Amino acid sequence: MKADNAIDLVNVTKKFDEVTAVSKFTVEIRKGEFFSLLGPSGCGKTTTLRMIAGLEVPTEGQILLEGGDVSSTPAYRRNVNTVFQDYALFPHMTVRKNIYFPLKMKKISPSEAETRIERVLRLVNMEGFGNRLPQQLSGGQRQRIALARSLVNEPAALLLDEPLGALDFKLRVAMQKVLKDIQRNVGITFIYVTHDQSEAMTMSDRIAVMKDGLAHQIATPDEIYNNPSTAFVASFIGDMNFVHGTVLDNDGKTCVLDVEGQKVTAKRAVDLGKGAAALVCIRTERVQVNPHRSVENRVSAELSRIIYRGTDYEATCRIGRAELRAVVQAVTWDAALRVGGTVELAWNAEDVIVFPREEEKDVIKYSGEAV
Amino acid sequence: MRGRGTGLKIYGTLIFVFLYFPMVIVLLFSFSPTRTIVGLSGLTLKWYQELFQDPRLLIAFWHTVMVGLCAVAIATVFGTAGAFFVTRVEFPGKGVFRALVMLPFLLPGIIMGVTLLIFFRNLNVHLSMFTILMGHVSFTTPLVMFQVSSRLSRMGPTYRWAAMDLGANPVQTFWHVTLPMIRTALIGAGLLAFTVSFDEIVISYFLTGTWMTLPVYIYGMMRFGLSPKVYAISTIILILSLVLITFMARYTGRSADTYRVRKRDAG
Repeated sequence: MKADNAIDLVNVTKKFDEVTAVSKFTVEIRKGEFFSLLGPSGCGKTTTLRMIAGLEVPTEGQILLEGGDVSSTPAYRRNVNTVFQDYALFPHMTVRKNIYFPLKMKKISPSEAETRIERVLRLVNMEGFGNRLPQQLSGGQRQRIALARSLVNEPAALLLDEPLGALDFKLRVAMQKVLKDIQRNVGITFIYVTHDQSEAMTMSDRIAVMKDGLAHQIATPDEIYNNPSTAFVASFIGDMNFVHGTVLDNDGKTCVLDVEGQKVTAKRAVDLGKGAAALVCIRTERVQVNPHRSVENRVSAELSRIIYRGTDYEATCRIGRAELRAVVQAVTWDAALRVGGTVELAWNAEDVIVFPREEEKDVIKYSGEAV
Repeated sequence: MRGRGTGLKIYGTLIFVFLYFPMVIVLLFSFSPTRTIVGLSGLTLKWYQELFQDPRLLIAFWHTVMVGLCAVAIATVFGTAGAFFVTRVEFPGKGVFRALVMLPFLLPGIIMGVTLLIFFRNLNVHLSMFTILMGHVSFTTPLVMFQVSSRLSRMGPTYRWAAMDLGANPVQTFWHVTLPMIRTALIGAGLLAFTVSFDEIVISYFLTGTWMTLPVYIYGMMRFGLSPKVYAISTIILILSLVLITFMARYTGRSADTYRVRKRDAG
């Protein structure tokens, strides 16, 4: 609860009747941070955002804004602004009047307002659109105006609820860069809700990965990708192989497992005893096919499917009953490989992540990327 | 293909004739100097002149306008409040509540008329403009409520959230955001309510004493046969209704796009 935090959530819980939407969420969000709430639909990310905005009241816990408790302050007295998924630009007001609205509510003088409106229109690169009506703008333009309207009062934090969800893929990628640039320019804390893991990974300083109202992990994108704290996080971000294994030996630093009769070594702290049922995870792009260099883990497998995806090949291989996918850059792909042939798969011991088998139920079968 | 198309065209024309022929007849009769349309010999405005020389008819007309305007004013306030209630408040049995509120509009006028008459008689309320007005309020209020609540639910809560998020308290949110956005629905509902109230006869007939509205008065006139004056007044009412309905159609669109298109035209 340091003074330079933009937002502190302390044990924030939200229940709707008997359903717990958010459960004991605690996080410190620093000033100027780009913080994402990531998770599948129904994970509580939007509810969390709405509690910060003041549109929902937490059942338990506290919300601090720049150190002050705002848990019971109504939305209109909180110094945070939201960009809604459908923008919510007022259709009966021009762009200029839309942006003037929050200034008018704060009783900013018209001349001062005029300079601020011009400045913020320039920031989002929409000068000259002031007299248009929202319905005369494209999706991307509306997005920029919604952003301008939320930024014009220079809030302590800007809350964004899936703001790119309604845009098509190319525009979404372009807007990600625009958003990130604007955030760097104004230095305002952004709290960003998304179900799109690649969006969260590209833009965020830190991400909270949520499921069923629980924050599974709060960390940097790098940490989340390389050291997921639960099998759910491991499955939700990036492309991951999951195979069953049994712990053969574990000294706290190195864990040796049996996977379909072959030995797999993991070089990391694993909290499982000898004989425990484990879920073994390896990133698809860390699996090498017929490598030249020697690495700790080598297993032989049968190549059962090859998919060409332009920049890379995805090779699905069978090891007994288990299936392992390897994603290989197209330039390094061995064109002699055929379905039905035998290959040697290899990966580093550092790249093996091990979870208790119980967590298998949390595994998301397909990556969380928006289709 | 061609045969079927022709058949449909004839069918459509017949329906059109069936619906509009009587109105055209009334319109023609109102300008006919004789009482028959056969051998129409010239046009005349004398029935219209006679209308304007009938003080009781003019008073009845004025009564109708007054009842209509008062009913619209009351129905707009209560109907809008009701619309906010049903769209924003969740409670068990909401569906039943909505249906019950719509009932006075949907029930046969004779039921409403008799029911209200018994009600007022038992309370010893003298039949007057007040009783007629209450009758009209009973069916115009659900009308307004229906129009406004469907606009509100189509709008969704996001605009309200956005307004509050941007610093507007509930009163400011209503005044600057919600009200302007339901304005067209309010005007449309008001016009519709007025149109319905203007030609309402069944309920009014039960609740009328000596204080008559125009439809009730016309009904009375007809006891002495179909005078061309009735045709003339009918024609005036017809044209007035058409004007009101045209305006109303501009304001009560089914989709949000209507709002957009209209706004763009205005801009």
